[in-house]
Amino acid sequence: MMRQPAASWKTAILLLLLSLFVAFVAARDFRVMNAPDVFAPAEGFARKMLSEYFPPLKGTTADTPVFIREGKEPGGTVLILGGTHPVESAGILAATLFLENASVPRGRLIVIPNANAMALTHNSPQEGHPQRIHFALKDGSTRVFRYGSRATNFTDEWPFPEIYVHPASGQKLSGKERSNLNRCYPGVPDGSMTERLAFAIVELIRKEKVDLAFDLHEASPEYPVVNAIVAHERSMELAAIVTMELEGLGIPIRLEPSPKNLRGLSHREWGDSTDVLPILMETGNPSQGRLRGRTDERLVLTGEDKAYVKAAALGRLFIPYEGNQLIAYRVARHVTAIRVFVENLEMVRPGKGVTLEGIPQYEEILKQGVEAFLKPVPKKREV
Amino acid sequence: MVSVRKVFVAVCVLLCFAGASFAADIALTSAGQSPDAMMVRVVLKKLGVEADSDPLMKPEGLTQKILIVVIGGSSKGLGAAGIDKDQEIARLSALLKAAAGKNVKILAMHVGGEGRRGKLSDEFITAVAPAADKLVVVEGGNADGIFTNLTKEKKTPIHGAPNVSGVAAPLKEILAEWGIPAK
Repeated sequence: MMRQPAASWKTAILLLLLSLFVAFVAARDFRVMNAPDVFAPAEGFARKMLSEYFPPLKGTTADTPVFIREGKEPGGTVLILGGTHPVESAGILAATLFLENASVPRGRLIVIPNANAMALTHNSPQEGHPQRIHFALKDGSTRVFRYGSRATNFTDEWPFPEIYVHPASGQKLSGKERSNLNRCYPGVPDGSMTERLAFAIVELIRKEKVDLAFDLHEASPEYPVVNAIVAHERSMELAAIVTMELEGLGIPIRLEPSPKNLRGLSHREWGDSTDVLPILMETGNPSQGRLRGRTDERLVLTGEDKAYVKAAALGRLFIPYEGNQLIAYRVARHVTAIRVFVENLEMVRPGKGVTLEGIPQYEEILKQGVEAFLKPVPKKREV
Repeated sequence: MVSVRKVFVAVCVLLCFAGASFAADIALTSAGQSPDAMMVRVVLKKLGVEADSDPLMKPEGLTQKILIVVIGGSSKGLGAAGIDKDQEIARLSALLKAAAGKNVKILAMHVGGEGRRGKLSDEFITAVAPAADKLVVVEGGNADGIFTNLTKEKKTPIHGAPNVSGVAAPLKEILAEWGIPAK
């Protein structure tokens, strides 16, 4: 038997140690995504957990904070959902702006900033996405928001089926769509983790008798349903009023009906399963698109991408693109649209109006940036 | 004793008259199933004008004096209605033919501007615009002259508007001309 040279043993040990080191760093990086984002709710918001509406969710990774503010005067109830897809940061940030700035003299406001908490604990593989985005506040502190994935973490939703059969309709989709919250409504109480989460959100809408509910998204500029409102037929009249008002404010927005035969989405299933007026909104975000170049925090915050400049020149985009899509612009669109919807709610649901105050105006967000309306939070992350 | 049959016929006749007296003077439909027709309905409401709105209106349902057709193609809308582009064009052709046969005035509207143009919408524009008695087109919708070209022969008046809210003024003017007062 031949003896191995001493050098080869040393190399093997060195490589083994190096592998362990890389595994340790990667694991630590992966684990740190589990630390929840911290919010600074405006005075008067009560903090609950989604599991209070569907107890089997308690103690699971799907459970997520629900913030409720009740006005002195009775009225309707509005729900704002951010983070259905945590790669769509404008949705999370718009929900956060309401949570951290709104006062509610009439009616109730419910905010869920991290709807799919299980999709915030990882990044989409092979997309080169950043893990976090940062905002420098005036007081010198920094607000950090995780940049997760469109889908539930594999550790919560594994294995994927080959084909996802939507339980309520029998609609067949790619297996990975079972980890997409916005394909799982109205949810299943004993289904997969994402289906249970969807069920819990519908339970909340039902139990809190929500009148108007928003699901905030972003889409790639080359996708036709972008800078858009998608409305269930019950919400269509209100959405038409809002579309016209937004146009008057210089915010053109496309209005699309919720297809009856595309199942599992919030704008369809919330409306079919409850009495709510469901609204889904999309802004244009180049970091979502397939034409993008380097995908880093800068791209998420600025939307500046030379490939999109070329695509715009070729007429391939569904948004006006002049070199950027700033996060402030994307958030301002969502915030202003929600404000206009809420202002007109009384018109279609008499006696169920909601009054919101303290919400930044469109121009204010554009000029001062999102960071001007985020509140400082303690450095230690909430667990 | 009055037979049950006679009572039934009398009730039916009464219901027919009741239906006729409650029908609005305006019928509102979509050409392409985009939600733009809903926006025109909101504008009509603001003008205090009642309209019988049915995005899938059929010729037999047309009993009004004026037919407003709001043009704008939406693949989501067609999907939601469970029809395809060709079925929608066939419905519109039959409806426009019935309107012409019944001397119903036809107002075609395109309120979506440049954003509601494209291959799908253009097919509906081509199907509807030549049959219109008047048109209202929001800025950008006629930038390439599609409406002008399609109505050149008939010399159909085209009223412009800056945006969808701005269609209220030409709409009010046209309806007044056709005998429907608005606020």
